[in-house]
Amino acid sequence: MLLNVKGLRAKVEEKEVLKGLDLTINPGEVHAIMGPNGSGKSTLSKVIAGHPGYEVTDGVIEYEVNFKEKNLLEMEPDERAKEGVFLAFQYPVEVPGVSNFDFLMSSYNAIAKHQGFPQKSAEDFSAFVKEKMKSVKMREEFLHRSVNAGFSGGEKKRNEILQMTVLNPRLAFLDETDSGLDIDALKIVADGVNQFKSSENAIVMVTHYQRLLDYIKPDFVHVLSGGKIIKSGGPDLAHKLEAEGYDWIH
Amino acid sequence: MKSILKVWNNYIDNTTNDLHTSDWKQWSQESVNRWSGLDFPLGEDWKYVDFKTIRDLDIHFPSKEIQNSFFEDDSQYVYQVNNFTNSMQTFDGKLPDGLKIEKEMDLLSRAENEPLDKREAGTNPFISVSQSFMGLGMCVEFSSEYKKKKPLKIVLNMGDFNEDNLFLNYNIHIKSYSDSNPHVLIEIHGVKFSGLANINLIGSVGENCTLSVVFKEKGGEESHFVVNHSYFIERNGFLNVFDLTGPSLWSRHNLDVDLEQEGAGVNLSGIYLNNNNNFIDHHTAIRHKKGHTESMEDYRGILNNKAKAVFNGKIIIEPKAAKSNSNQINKNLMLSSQAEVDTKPELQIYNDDVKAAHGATIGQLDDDQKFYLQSRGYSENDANQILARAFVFDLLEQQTQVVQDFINDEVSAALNQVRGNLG
Repeated sequence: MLLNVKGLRAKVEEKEVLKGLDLTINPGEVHAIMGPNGSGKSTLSKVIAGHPGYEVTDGVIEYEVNFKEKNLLEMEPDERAKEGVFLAFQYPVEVPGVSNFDFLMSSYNAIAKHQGFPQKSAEDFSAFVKEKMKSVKMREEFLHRSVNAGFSGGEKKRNEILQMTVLNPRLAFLDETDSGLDIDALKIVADGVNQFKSSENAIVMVTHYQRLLDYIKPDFVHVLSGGKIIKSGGPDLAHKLEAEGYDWIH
Repeated sequence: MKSILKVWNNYIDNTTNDLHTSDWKQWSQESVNRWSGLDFPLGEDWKYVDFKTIRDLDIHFPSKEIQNSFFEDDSQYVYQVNNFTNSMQTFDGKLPDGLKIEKEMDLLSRAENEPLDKREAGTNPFISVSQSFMGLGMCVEFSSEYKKKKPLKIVLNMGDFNEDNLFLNYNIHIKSYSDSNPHVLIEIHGVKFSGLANINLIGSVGENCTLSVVFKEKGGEESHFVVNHSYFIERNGFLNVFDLTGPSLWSRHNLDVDLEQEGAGVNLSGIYLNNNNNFIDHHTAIRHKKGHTESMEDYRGILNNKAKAVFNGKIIIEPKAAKSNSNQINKNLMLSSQAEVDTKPELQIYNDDVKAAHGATIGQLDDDQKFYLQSRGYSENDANQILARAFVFDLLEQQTQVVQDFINDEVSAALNQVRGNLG
């Protein structure tokens, strides 16, 4: 087990969005969480990453690292990141005045230090990150621009995937990573995710649409509705949802 | 102001020298008459100033001179001004071609009919104070032979007196003539300074000359500074000023620029970093007197704890200043709910054919940016510090390498303190 969510309830601005959600994820698995607008998909991603604007009112999130079980809810967002939890944002945030290179290198080294890996010098990190950039077809100039500032929607999403491949998390939540991407950009992002996928990590794709799942094959598909997972199945479930919508489940 | 009067009486009684003119004492007395009756400065330009820490200071001149301690630095010509009598020295005793430095008193001794500093004090009595203490200063002159030379660094060393409640006055006259294009780096070495210092920079920028002045105030918990910059720019002359204000207890910077002739321009920028319960006030006034003049102004402040800042930026475009262009911005980042800033951009435009824009912002750290950084492994403290640095980053990036090298350590130290306080 990598992640075990049990009876999770969470609210934002006094409105309860997650209403007793259960989800278990093991290393090596790819999960897709689908659901209509307002079902709580993004809320789940943010609660996993520790967004301070969401209040968890009940339930537990167990997270296993090196055979030790941790309560994710007791950890600050940066502690979660250092333990290998990653969220690819639906709307990546622009940070003018902070270069992508410095941002990524400090992040990499903070996580490496915490996990006991050697930190990288600027020279070593430069070679390392440039290699990773090839997998998402990003030009080197992006390293020297401010984080996401002035990036197109597609460039921002690719930057998220670049961060994921550089930081090498154990658990990656991709929140609507496919939204706003044209088909070419979608393929690039999917290639990056597929290269990242391994038997030691797990990927959770939160998405509206089936089309991302044509490129990244999930092992499990879950339907999130009304703040709960109401149905789980294999890849066929996604096709059925695409063809028939969500109404038939209820 | 009464305590300054006491110091002045002491100065005028004890200053004996072999001046060829006796007029200076009379000029000095006339200047005193303009401020000696005031309790403290009044009026709109002073209404946000908190005088409580300054009005009861029982100030006096230093009782003894201090020893020179030189800052050797091959990248600059370093001039150190040590105390109230203005003993000055370079580290190698030589000056490069095109640079002349004299004591103000020496120049006064040759002055025939008028004082060196003819500024009108307007609403700022501290300009009159500096004129009363004429003689306590230096004159720096750059001719065209100075072109492409190393920067001149002037260190006002006021940190080693080991006396409380001092009064110091420094007048620095800077004249730059055509094509000299000098950089002047002025450092207030005053972390341990206790008392009030009145510092005056009177600069003239000649035709086709670019003068760059960087003013770095390193004050401490008992430091009170009044800094009066006054610049006069001639035809096609250009002035760059970068004003860095650090953690002095109390600091007021007045910065006046007169764009006297066509084609004159100025770029003023500054950063104020208030971490504690200190007070920093910038009052700037740019006068476009002739056509085709240009001014740009960008001041940024980061305030923490109970710090208080004031920014008042006045731009006056006079009737004869057609085709002038002016742009002013003041941005403030508040890191504490108890910090306070009063910002007031002010445009006075008397000609229709001009471009003028101004703006002011007061904001807090962006929660989404903070969470984004935290989600990538940055602690909350690190995220705060990085975002505070990002707030001033583009302004720092616009500066020349000389300026960046001169201020980077202080900016980083101040931002580190931001992190510490938030933690």
